[in-house]
Amino acid sequence: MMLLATFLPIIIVIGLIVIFSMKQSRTKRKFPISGAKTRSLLIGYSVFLLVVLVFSFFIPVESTSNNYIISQEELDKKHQDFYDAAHQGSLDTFDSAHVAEKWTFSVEDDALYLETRNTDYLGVSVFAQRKEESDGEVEIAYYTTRPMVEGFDITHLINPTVIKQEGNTLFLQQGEDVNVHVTKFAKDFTITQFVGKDTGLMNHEYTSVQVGPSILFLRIPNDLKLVDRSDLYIQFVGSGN
Amino acid sequence: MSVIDCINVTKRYGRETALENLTFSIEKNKITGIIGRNGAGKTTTLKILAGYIQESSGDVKVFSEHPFNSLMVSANTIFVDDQMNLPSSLNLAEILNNAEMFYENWDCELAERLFSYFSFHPKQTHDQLSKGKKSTFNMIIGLASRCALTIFDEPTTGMDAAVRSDFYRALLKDYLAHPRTILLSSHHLNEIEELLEDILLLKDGQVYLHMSLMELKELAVGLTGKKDEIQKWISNKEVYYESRVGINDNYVVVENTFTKEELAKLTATGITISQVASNDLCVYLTNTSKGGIDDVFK
Amino acid sequence: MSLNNVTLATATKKLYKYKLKANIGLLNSLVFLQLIAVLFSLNGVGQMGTGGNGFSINVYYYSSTLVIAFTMLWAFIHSIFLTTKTFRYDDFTFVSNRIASNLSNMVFLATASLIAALFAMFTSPLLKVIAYFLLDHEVLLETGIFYSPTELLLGFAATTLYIFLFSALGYFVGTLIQLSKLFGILLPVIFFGTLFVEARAGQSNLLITMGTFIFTESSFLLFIIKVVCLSSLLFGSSLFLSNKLEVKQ
Repeated sequence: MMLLATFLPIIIVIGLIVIFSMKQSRTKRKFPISGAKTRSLLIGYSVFLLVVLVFSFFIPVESTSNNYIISQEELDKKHQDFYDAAHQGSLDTFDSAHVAEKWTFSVEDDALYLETRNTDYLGVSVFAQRKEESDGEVEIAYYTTRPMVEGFDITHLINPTVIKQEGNTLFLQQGEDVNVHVTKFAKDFTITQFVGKDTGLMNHEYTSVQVGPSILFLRIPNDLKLVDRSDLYIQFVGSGN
Repeated sequence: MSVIDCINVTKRYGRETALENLTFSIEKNKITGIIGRNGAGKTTTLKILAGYIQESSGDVKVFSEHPFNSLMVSANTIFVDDQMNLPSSLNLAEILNNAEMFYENWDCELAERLFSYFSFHPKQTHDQLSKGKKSTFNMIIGLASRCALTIFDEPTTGMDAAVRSDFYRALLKDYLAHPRTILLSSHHLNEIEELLEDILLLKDGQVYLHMSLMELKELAVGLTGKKDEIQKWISNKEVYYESRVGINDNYVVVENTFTKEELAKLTATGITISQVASNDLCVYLTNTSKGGIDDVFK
Repeated sequence: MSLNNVTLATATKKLYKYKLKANIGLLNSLVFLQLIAVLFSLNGVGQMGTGGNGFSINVYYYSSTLVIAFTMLWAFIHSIFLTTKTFRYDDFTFVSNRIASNLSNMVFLATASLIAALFAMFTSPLLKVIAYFLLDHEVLLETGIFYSPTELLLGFAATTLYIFLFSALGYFVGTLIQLSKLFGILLPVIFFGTLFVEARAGQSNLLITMGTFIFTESSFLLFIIKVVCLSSLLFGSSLFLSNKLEVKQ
C-alpha cells in the first residue's frame, strides 16, 4: 500500500494521459490509428525488446547468490577474530584481513608524534608493535576486513587513511568519503511472490552489506618513542610500550 | 407466413411513451415502408425488431423468436442507418471482409461492384467519409449482407439525388433477384413509392394504418370546387385535409367511400376529382390539424 | 431466403477475431505507457542506504515492478473503454447478442493481458541496458544466479493473471458506469475516500486486506484459484448487469 501512496500522483497523471489519448483516437475520431500502423508499432517494439535482450547478455553483471548471507553473530565473531589477530600481531596470516595500503617512513628522532588532521574521528583502530631491531623505519599497513555487498568485494573502492610525514610527526587524515552506488537488478514481484522468502510488492530482497572494522598497524623501531597527540588510543602488541 | 409479429408493444423511456400498444405483423419477402412524422416511433420500432432495444411490455416476435439477445435474429437481420457503428481502426476493405465473416449470405461480388461503382477507396476509413458517402457505404453492407430481414432506417440521409435513385434501383434489383423481408423508413415516400408493397403508417407511437400501397391510393380522393357545393357531399365523411384554393374554391381530401354514381354527380356539379399522392396523404393523415401549417397563420 | 443459425460459440469466435483486428489500436497506448514506466523506473524502484565511517553504500533496486504496475493500470483503463458505447455498439452492427459480446470481450482481454505481460517481462533487459550505460554506478548486481526457465514461466503466468484480474476489475467498473453515470463519480469517491480515511486513521483495513489477499499469496496454485475466481466473479457480474443494456445511438 505504501507503493500505491507513493505512486498515486504518477498513476493519476498517466491515467489522465491514457484517457486523453484514447478519447482522441476513439470518441472524437480525430487521430484514428489504423490497425496496420499499430501492427507495425507492435512488431517494432517486439524487435527492439528482443535486440535489447540479446544485448543485455553481454553486460557484465555480478550475479549474487544466497551464499553470502551470514548471521550477525558470525559477523561479530569474524570482527572479533580480526581484532584478536591484531592483538596477537598475526594479521598477516589472518584470512579475512586485507592490506589495502602500506607505507614506510624513516624516523631520525627518538620520538614519533601521531596527530590527526582535519579529522574529528579517525574511524580506524591504531595498533603498534615494536620490532626487534632499531632500524629507524616505521612500517605502517592498513588492514580491512573485506567490505562486501552481497558477497561482492568492494575493497578497491575504499579510501584508506591518508598519512603524511612532516618532520617527526605523522599526520593522519581520514580518507576521502566514498559513496558507493550499487545498482541492483531485482526480480519482479510476480516472481518473488512465489519463490524466495520475501513476498509483496515492495519488500525487496535484503541486500547484505558487510563493512567491517579497519586497523592501522604500525611496526616501529625498538627504541622509538610513540607519542599520541590526538587521543588515538594506540594499542601495543606484545611486550612493552 | 409472417416474419414479424408485434402484439401490444409499448416502449417507455422514463415517463415518455415512445410506442403505445403497437400491433402489426409483416409477411415474408415484402418490402414495407415505415412512414411517420418525426418522433412517431419509427426508429424505436425498428430497433426493437433488430434486438437493439427491449420493449417495455407486449410481445415481439421476429422469425418466431424474441429479438432482444437472440443470436438467430441477429444473424438474419441487418440494421442500417446513418449512425452505423463501424470502427475507425479498420479501412473500408477490411470492414467489408469482416462483414463477410459475420454474414453467411454475404455477396462478395455485389459488395465489390457497388464499392467500385460508388468509387470508394479501399484504404479510406469510415470516419473520413462524408455524410452521404457514409450512408452509401452502409447501404452496400445492408444490401450485400443479404439478410432475411433487412432494415433500412432513413438510409438516404445525406445522399444526393443521383445516389438516392441509384440506391433505390439497386435495392429493387437485388430484392427481385433475392427476395427478402425489407423494412424501409424514409421521409421521402414519393421517392420510394415504386419500391413499396405495403406501408405501415405510425402516428404518436401507434399504428395509424397498415395496408398495401394500392389500398392507400384508393383510400382518399381530393375534391376541388365551390365550398358550399363540396360541403353538401362531405358532411358525413371523414375529412383529412382542407384548404382554400383561389378565391372561392376549396380543396378537401376526404375518405373515398363514394359510389360510381356519386362520383359522376360530383363531376356534374363542377367539382374536380383528383387522386391524392400517397406522400401528401400520409402527411395529411398524420397532421394534428386539418389545415396543416396554414392553421397556425389563420 | 433460408434462415441461418449461429451458435454462441461461433458468434463469440467471430466477434473475437473481429476485435483482434478492430481494437488492436488499444495496444498503442500500452507501448508508450511501458516506455514511460521504464523512464520512471530509472530512479530505481527502491533504495537502501547504509553507511560506515567515511563511506556510504546506496543500493538502488531496478526491476520491472513499475512497468507491471503501469501495465495493470493500463489494463484497468483499457477495459473500462471496452465497455463504452463506441466499442459496445460495434458488435451489434454485426452478429451478436450481449452474451457473445461480453464473452468475446473477455477472451480479447485475456489475449491482450498475455501480450502486455510478455512485453512487460521483456522490459527488464531494457532497464538493465539503460542502467548500465546511462546511470552512475560502481557495482552492478543481479539477484539470483539466473532466471530459471520455471521462474520465467511462473513470472510470466503470474504477470498475465495480474493484468487479467485488473482487466476484469476495469470491465466491471466500466459496466457499472454504463448502467448509471452516477457510478463514474461514486466509485472514485469511495476508492479515494477509503484510501485517505484509512491513511489518516493510520491503519488500513479494507484496501490492505484486499491487497494482501492477492499480493501476498505465496502459493502459486492458490494464487491462480483466487485470480480465476475473482475474475470470473467480476466478468459474471458484468455479464449479468449488462444483459439488459440497450443499443441506443
